[in-house]
Parts: sequence; structure tokens; C-alpha cells
Amino acid sequence: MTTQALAVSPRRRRRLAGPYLLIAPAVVLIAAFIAYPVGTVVYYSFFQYSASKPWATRFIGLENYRVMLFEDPKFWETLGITAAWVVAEVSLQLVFGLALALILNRAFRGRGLARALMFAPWAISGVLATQIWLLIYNPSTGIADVLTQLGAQSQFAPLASAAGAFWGAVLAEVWRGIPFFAILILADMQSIPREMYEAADVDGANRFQQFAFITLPYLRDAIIITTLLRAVWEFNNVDLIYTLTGGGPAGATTTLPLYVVEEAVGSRNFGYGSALTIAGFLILLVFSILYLQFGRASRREAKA
Amino acid sequence: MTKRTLLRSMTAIAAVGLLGGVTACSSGGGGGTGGTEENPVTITFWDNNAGPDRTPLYEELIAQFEDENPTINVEYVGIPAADAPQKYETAVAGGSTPDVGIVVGWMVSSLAAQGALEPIEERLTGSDLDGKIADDSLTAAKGAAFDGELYIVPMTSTPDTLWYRSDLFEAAGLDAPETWDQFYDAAEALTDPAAGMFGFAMRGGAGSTNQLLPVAYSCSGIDSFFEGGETTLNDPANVECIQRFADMYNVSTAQADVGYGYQEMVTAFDGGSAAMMQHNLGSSQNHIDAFGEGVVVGLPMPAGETAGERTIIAPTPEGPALFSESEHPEEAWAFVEFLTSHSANSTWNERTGQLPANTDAREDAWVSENDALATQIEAISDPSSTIVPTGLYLPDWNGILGEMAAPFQSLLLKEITAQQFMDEWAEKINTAEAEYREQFGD
Amino acid sequence: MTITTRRRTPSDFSLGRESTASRAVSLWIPLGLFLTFTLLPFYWMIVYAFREEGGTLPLPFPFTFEHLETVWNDLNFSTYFANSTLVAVSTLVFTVVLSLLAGYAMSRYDFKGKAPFMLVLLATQFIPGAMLLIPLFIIFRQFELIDSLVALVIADTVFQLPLCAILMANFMRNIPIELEEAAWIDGCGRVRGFLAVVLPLLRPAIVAVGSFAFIGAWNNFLFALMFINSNDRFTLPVGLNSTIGEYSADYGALAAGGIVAAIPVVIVFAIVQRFLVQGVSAGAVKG
Repeated sequence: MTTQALAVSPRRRRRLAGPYLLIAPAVVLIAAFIAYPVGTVVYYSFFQYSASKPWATRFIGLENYRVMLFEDPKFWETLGITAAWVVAEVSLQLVFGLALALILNRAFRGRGLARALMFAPWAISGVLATQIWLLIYNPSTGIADVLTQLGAQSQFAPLASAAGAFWGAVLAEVWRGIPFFAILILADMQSIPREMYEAADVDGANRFQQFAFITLPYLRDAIIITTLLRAVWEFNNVDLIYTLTGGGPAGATTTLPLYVVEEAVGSRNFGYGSALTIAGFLILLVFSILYLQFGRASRREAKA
Repeated sequence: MTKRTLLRSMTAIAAVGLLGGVTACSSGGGGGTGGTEENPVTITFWDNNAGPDRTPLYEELIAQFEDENPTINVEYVGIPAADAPQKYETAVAGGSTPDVGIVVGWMVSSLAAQGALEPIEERLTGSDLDGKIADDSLTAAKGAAFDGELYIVPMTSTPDTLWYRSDLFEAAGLDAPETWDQFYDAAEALTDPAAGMFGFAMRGGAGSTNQLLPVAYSCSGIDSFFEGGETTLNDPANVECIQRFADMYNVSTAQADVGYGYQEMVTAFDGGSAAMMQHNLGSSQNHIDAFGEGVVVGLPMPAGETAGERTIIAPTPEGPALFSESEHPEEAWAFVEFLTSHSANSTWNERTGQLPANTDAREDAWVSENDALATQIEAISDPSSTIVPTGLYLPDWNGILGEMAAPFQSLLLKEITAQQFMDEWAEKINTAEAEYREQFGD
Repeated sequence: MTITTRRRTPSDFSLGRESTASRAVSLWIPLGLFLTFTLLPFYWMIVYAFREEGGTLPLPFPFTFEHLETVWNDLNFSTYFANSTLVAVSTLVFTVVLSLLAGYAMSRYDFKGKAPFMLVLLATQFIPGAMLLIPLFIIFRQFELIDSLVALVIADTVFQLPLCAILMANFMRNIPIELEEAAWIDGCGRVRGFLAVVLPLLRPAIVAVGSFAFIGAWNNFLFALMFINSNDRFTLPVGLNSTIGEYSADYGALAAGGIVAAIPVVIVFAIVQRFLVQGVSAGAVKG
């Protein structure tokens, strides 16, 4: 509705260069600092290339891609794990982030303090967050140790099993990721016109109905965009899993980007790592386009 | 507005840029020529394992060096251990290396192959240090390079050590784990899951495979890593040893061990929930902090059959390397020389509890007072011991170790057998070795 | 400006009717659960930061300030702290300004290439940073920015900007264009209209997006480690990572350093968080 109003405005015609000038700094920065690096990844994906074996570098065309698609079961396994990871992370963070935003949007004594505390997991550095969770999961320093010292003998060691390690990593990342959703949703809630709630009050709508019919529809765009951003971000998030589980046990938590890091950063097989990266890139590209289409469609539907 | 804001932000970027530009030039001093006391040459030095213990140690040594060499300034850069390899690789690929950096054995091949390191044998033989670096360390250092050249002057090497709690062994009336049979007996006897006590803390996670080589060869007694271009890794004797070792998981070890890296393993051991642990000498200070002097004893890896007759996997060397892009190689070499000299090498190893590479330092009194260290030196110099060099020179060596970490967890979780595990490992090594021979001949 | 007072938080309106019991169920109990989950890991952090070396009790006892002193004095954290602040604040400023510009373009104009631009922004996040380090390193070397904090500001801004711009555009879409048009009719230009009408309403967005950019830069480890080559220009995450050595892990120093790194950020957020909820700044809410 808003953009149409502008489209007919005569101002727009006079300032046709306007939007381009506005996005110019972002475009320049991205072109200068991201385009070339991404280009080199594409380039190396056509090579057998390992820094530690300079004599063995050669152009091999699509060979890396062929191996990846047809001869590397690990590619498909890690892809499956990545999907599970992204879905678990984004849905849990969204649900809890939304709930937290609703709570923190209410008026109560000590709200400022509560908001600051809730924000804290996001503020601490990655290495610290991971090490703290490692200590918590470690039977000789963590929950098991506390239980033992309290007299309840325990060998609780979540990282020792495939499912335990996966959910252990999910929980730690959810802990760090909730504030992202909570803050963005909280900020977005502020644009919901108060009149909507007043009218609903008059109509006798209860709190849940107000949430379902006013808050949620208003937040739809924000939720679509934040979940997309978060999905992309979590897809490529390696540092927490890398330190917490190392992709184990036995590869049970090795996501695609973690596999990339193993291949490429161990400087053993940068060419193949690049091909895996491009695969991840294309998957995210297609996913994003579809997701945005879906978002647009659902918006039209809501208006109709 | 757009233009003005743009302009303003550009000006700000430019201003910050100017500021950064001024501070960015770090390697001051004159180009190429020697420095003077008023205008000393600055060389940069990278520490690959920065932290509360090493950083102050290097700063002390640097101060001492600068006192002795007033025309040279050393700029210390501490790099967190976990990311040091990536930092070195990025700097080499990006063309911005230090003058001197500590390089661990398994990184030598890769960095040298990229032409980043200067061969230093000539410098060494021409210096006062000639003959002062122990042969075992020098051989190991050359064995770490793809072309057999010397690229690091070893400060230390890290033989695998079996640490055990002598108090628990005594209380249970057990013999010290000198042989593998004694090791397994003790591990079983000291395990009491109900009390949260296990015989052994196993490294099942990051870095596990590196420690498996000493387990396999000390137990099997096989005396060479390659035979006729093929590795002996999947020799039946090695397979049997690894199977027995893996079978101990979740029986004489805690279930959590499958994910343990170095820190978790040490935390479990020093937290009192395991009676034995395999690591190197580097963790000795942790054990003293946790239990006091003399409680934790360090032995070389157990012997296969008879106590005393050991097969030892050649310890990985570590030491300063001279980077070939250095603009001040003479000054850089002077610092390398200093770090590996008697006094500095002695100080460094005494403080870190490691095995000195400098032969004079090995004679120092503190060495004989450090039991774990003295036993290791004894074992390494014992004529009845067999030292087994590995394939550390293979550019793929470390990559393969990393790739085998997940299969080892599968082995612990009984998804595969030791035979399958060792076959897979051997196949990777054989491929890498064949490729290497094709490139460089035998 | 009357707009601000008109817009209050949605939940303020049912306050009067709520019983203590329902308030407990809908507010205090979930809040308590959230707080427990959030703070539990911090408890471990505090235990390790303030417990003497060798202590095993799950309590910060025997109590000590030794770890804090170590990280601040011996491990150079005071310098790291200053560097981190400089980098994160600069990144925050650049990112917010640039995403206001790009966000305004995306939300208020229809222009050719808008959809592809949005995708390009997203696409910057499609590749793990670790894969881009070497080419980025080479670019910065061309600009002679290796070992300069400017490289960190640029790299952090480049990687934070795309997400922040998308979020900002989304926030701006929620602000009715009619408000701006009213300002234009009053004789304001587009710029003054934006500054007078839109910017104040964007305060929650700026706080949210700004925190996002700030935290991203504050906690970025990889860029700081790779593009900086001297100890006195490293940032806090490099210092924190240094406490976990190959042969020793000093959890006390890590936890104490983590507290040094986190507390100021949390305090600053505690101060700005009230702008997340606009009504408060206009004095519309009592509690």
C-alpha cells in the first residue's frame, strides 16, 4: 500500500536516482569486499587445490562437483544434518523468542533489568559460550558433578551419544539465539497501532484472541524476514558445533559447513571444500527465493 | 541528504583510515640494514600457543634477548593455539608472514612446501649451536619436512606419556603400568562407575588419532611405519592392539570419553574421576596444581611384552622457524639462536615441563628432578628402545589424522571394527605416500 | 511529534482487569523459567571466574579476584577492551547509517533491481566466513590495511550491513507513508520529513539493529585474529581464545575475561533497552 502511494508521486520521477544513491554505499562495499572473495571460491571449486601440495594443483573442471553429487555419501549426510539443525534452531528460537518478546512487552516491575538479563547470552563471546556449555555437559564439571556432590550419583554425559550431542548443541545455540528473535520482535511490536487493541477490548476479545488476530498478523512480515535471516545464519554457523562436539560423535553433528571447514581449512582439500561451499550457496539461494515467494503469496492471501 | 550523509560517512571512513594508516606500520626500523641502539631493527615473533602460561614466559625471554641485543626489537604476537594453523596458512597465502614463528612438526611440511620457511641447516652448522641440539630432535625435525630439509630448530619434542595416580595404584596394591597388560589390569581394577571413578580417561574426540599411533606401535612392537612403500598401520598386531584399546571404552572409561578433546580429558583426570590418562609432558603442571607434587606419575607408553623394551613413536618436534619473507633474516636468526640456546631453552622447558632439545639443557639439574621428564629422556636414549618415525613429512598427514577422528568414534561406539578402522586409515596413508613418491621419488 | 505519545504498547490496556493469579500464570511463571534457563550457564561462568584455582565445589568459593587481575593486567585485556570498543562502536555507526539509507530505498521506492539487490544482500551470508578469509586478506593487503583496526571495521560492517539493511527496511515498511507525506505538505523536504517524522519512530529499530551490529563486531574472533598482526591491536575475543591453550585451559581466566567482555555490553543494553518500547520514552506507561 505504501509503495504504490509513492509510485504515483511526482517527486519520485524527479528523483529517479534517489534509491540508487541510497543503496550505493552498500553496493560498493559488497562489490569491493565480498564479490571478489566469493569469485575466488567459485574459481577454486574447479581445481584440485591444496595449499600444502602446490605441485598437485590443476584444473579439473566439474570433477569436484561430480564427486560431491555421486560419490560422496558424506555430502548428503551432512546436508540432512544441516537441515535438521536449521529447522530445530529456527523453530525453537522463534517460538521462545516470540514468547519472550510477549512477556517483555508487558508492564511489570523490574522489566528493564529482565530485558538486560535476557539479552546477556547474546552479548557474550562465542568461545566463552561454547566453553561454558562444554563445562556444563562435562560429567566431571557440569550438571552431573553438581548432582553427584549433592548426593545423587550421576554420569549425565549428553555429548557421548549422537542424539544427545545434537540436542545438546541445539540447546546451547537456542540459548544464544533467543535474544535475537526476542529483540527484533519486541521492536517490531511497537508499530502495532494501539487502536487495534482498544477495539478488540471493546469487542471483548481475550488475550489469546488479541494475540492470534492482531499481534501475529502484524508481525507476519517481521517473522518471515527474521526466520529467513536466521535460517541462513544458522545454516553457516559452525563455531559452536565445531568446538562443542567437533562434528561428532562419529559425524553425527557434522553439518555441511562444518564439513567444508574440515576439508578446506585443514588445508588438505581447498578445491573440494570450495565446491561444497558453492553447493551450500546454491541451496540457500533457491531456498531464499522460494521462501520469499511464499512470504509474498501469504501476504497477498492475507489481504484478499 | 543522501549526498551529504554519504560524504560525511566517507570522510569518517577516510579519517579512520588515516588514523589506521599511521598506526598500521608496525615493522619499523631500516630496511635490510642492521639496526642501531637508537634505531633498532624490529622483528615480529609469533607464538603459536599463546595463553596465561606461555605469553609471560616469552615476554620474559624477549626482554632478556633485547637486553643482550640492544639493536634488535622483538614484537611478540600471541596466537590462540586452536587457530594458529589457520592463522599461519592465511598469512602465508596472503603474503604477510612474521620474521620468526613457532611451528609444530605437523605444520612444517605444508608451510615449507609453500616456500614460506627458509632452510636453516647451514645457519645452524655455522653457529655456536652446532652439535648442541639433540640428534633425536634434529632427526625428527627433518623428518617433518616434505623434502627432508631442516626448517625448524627444535626447542622441544613431545613424547607421549602415560600419567597415572600413584596414590590410587598404591591403595589398590597395583603395579605401575609398565606393560600393556598391567595397564589394562589396572584400568579394570580401578574402575568403579558407582563412585564416578574410571580406570582411564580416553581422548575420543579432537586429536584422538594422533595418540593412537603410540598406542598401536608401543603395544605391537612393530619397528617401522612403512615397509616397502606400504604402511604397517593395519598389520594384524596393530589391529589387535587398537581393538583391545577401543574395547576399553565405556567399560574402563566413562561414556563421555567418546567426545573428549584434550581439555575435557585433562579436566576429567585432574578432577579426580580417572586413574590414568595418555597425553604428553605438556600437562604436568596441571597435575601438580590438582594433586600436589609426586601424586601423579608420568611414564613412557607401556611396553608390549617385557617392561623396559619400548617401541616409541618419534616425538613430534616443535620450534622456531625463519620465514623466508623476512626482511631481517640475520636478526631473526639471532632470535632463533637465542630461543634454542642453553639458557633460554632450559628456562622455557623448565617452565612448561617439556623435554628440552638442547643437549646442555638436558643436563641441567631441574631435569633430573622432574621424574616424568627424566624417565622419558632415559627411554629415548636407551639403546634397547626402538624409535619409529612416522609419515609426518606427508603433506596430507595431518589432514588424514583429522579425517580419521570420526571413524575412531565409530569404532568406540562399535559401529565398525578395529580392522575396518585401521584398513581405512592405512589406505589413506598409502595413497598419500604413493602420491608423494611419485612427486619426489623414494 | 504527537505520534509518539499516541503509540503505546499493546499490553497496557488490559492491565487493570487482570487478577493476581492470572498474572502469575501469564507473566511471572514463564518469566521465571526463562530467567532460570538464561542465567544457569552464567552461574557456571561466575563459579569459574571467582573460584580459586583447584576448587571443586560448585560455588564461587574459596572466593578470589585473582583471575580478574590476571586477565586485566597480565593478559593485556585493557588494551583489547579499548580496541574492541573502537571497532564495535565504529561498526555500529557505519552499519546503522548505511542500513538507514539502504532500508529507506528498499521500503519507500520501487526501483529496477530492488528484488535482486535484496537477494544480493542475503547472498552475502550464504558462504561461511572461513572460506573468504584469504581473498579478504589479500584485498586488505592491497589497501595496506593489514594490522589496522580499520580492516576490522570494514570487514565487520560489510558482513553486518546486509542483514541490518534488510531488517531496517522491514521496520520502515511499518511506518505509514502518510505520516511522511503530511510532513511534506507542511513544507518539509524529504530529508527533513524523514528526520522529523520517521527517525523518531525508528528508535526501536535502531536499537535492535544497532545491538545486532555492535554485538557482531564485538564478538568477531576470526577477522580480528586473521587481519591483525600485533598484540596491541587484538580485540577481546582473541584474548579470550588465548586462555584456552594447547596444553592448558585456564577456565578461570576465560570466565573472568568473559565477564570483563560482557558486563559493559549488558549495562549499555540495559540503558538503551527502554527505547525498544517507544511508549515508555513518552511517559505513557506507569509500572
